[in-house]
Amino acid sequence: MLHYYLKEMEDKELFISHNISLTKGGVLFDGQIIYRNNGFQDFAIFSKELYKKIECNYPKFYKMDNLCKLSFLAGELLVKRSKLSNIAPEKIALFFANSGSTIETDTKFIESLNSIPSPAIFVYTLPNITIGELCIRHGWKGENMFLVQSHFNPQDLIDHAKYVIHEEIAHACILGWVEFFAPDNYQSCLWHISKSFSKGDRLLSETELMVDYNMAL
Amino acid sequence: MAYLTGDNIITSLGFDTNEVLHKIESGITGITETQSFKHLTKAPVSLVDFDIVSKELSFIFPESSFTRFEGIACLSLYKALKQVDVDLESNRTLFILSTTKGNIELLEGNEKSGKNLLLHHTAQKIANLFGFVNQPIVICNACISGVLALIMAKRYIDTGKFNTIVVAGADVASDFVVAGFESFKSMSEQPCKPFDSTRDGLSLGEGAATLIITKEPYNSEIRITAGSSANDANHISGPSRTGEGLFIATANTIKDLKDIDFISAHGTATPYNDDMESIALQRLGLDHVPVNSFKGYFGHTLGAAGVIETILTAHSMLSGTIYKTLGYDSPGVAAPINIVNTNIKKTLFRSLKMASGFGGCNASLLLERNGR
Repeated sequence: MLHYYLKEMEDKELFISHNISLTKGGVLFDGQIIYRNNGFQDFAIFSKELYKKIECNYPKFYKMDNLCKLSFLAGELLVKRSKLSNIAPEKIALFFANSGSTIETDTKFIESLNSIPSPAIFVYTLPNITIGELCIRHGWKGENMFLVQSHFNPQDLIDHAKYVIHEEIAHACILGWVEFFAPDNYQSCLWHISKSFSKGDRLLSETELMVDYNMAL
Repeated sequence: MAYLTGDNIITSLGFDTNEVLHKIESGITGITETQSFKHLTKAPVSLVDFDIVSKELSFIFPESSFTRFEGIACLSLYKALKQVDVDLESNRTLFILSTTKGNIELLEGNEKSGKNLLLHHTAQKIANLFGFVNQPIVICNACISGVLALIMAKRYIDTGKFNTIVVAGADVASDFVVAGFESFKSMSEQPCKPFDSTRDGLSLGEGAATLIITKEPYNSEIRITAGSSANDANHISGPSRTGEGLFIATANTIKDLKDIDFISAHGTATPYNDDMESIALQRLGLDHVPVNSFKGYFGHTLGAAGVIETILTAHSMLSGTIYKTLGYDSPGVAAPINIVNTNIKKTLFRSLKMASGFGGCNASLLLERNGR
């Protein structure tokens, strides 16, 4: 019976509606260049420039650590171009991963211990805060999960997306890979996963997610 | 079906589940005063005796060296795996590690950017030691990590992808974490008092726990039958005033809200968390159900908490005992709920484990016992 279940889940395909990929070269939307980071400026400069271009007026952005800024910017760009707002907020699940957890902010917090430990830094030493920031911004209340992987392994995210959509716990998923190692070494890749096909959608598969992940500017 | 077939708990109260249960039954807390931390003012902490951990490990793995984190995780795994015949080399066996900060202590020393700080590296090192062939999964989702790991295990058993899932949760009390909670002023100067009118903060704890989940029941009577998570979409470091995320996660977990016999709450003893949980339970119509928090016995063990407290919930069901909420004297939460303040005997068929954490995350898990 379990094998039937597995088969049934495999038969019920999901779709990649849209993808945002933000790296030091710029931003791709569904594989098309939408912003270029001319001269490969450091993330501090590029992120501010992008924030201004997006015109979202969300001052909390300036309080976020770099990992959250990465997710936030990709989230803004994705939401503007997708139909996520048609889905009930508690039916949007967010499953994210990276390999470094919050290593950049961990180092900053350790440095702050020499003076007064900062709660404003400490809160960002948990990688799922990046999901929390997106949920607050967009009102999403569905499932959350953050995985730490040695390298991008989309199958774990796909397995979970299929389960929650098949079980009707969610109607759409946002899958993400968000990594910040250094001002010139970062990546934010978000996917909007749908349960039914719309024009232009791709079939969700490990290969497709890998293609998007590798196609950085 | 996802059966619970083997377990271990390591905390300040002992090095296996029975030892810990015995102390809980007697109402003993492991939260004590300590001078171990640079940034701690007065708050007591629940600490594991690492001399004993090291000694036991030196007999079991004489060739290996361990950090404190790896030490408690490996000792817990070893003790749980001894109880069940698990084929670690099967591609149908998966190891999931739940932790918030892993080897973060190394960052305070010389290890500024070493690979031992990376959680996936730590998980792989542990997996290699025991001989798991599949790549391990690391769940790092604040204080709901443990419950999420068990939800993931249940789903993987459901889909038939794996037959056996070994879930280990662990975190150590480090200067990093202690300083962080101190900076939030969220730690109490006494052992924490969950749901009490005078509660003024949490107590930190360290610990490890392992839960073996199998498709086959073997001799187990307890299984995970549902679980879900949700976000408050409200604040990154404070819970929702309306218990929104916990309400959604729990409503998704138990479609039939009748017949819940017992709830093991998150119950950290911070004013906001406990109020939030009471409001969520009232909204769910579960305010009459006996509820406890285990945090008064061994503190908040972060990434281990969900695994430790789910094991304790399962054993409560096996022995038909609801343990009292140590530290609780008088009601003081926003909504009236049925907080257990003395050990009581009750037949338990369906129990709920809840957890909430930074980032607005919440999770619920349903355990059921054969028989009803």
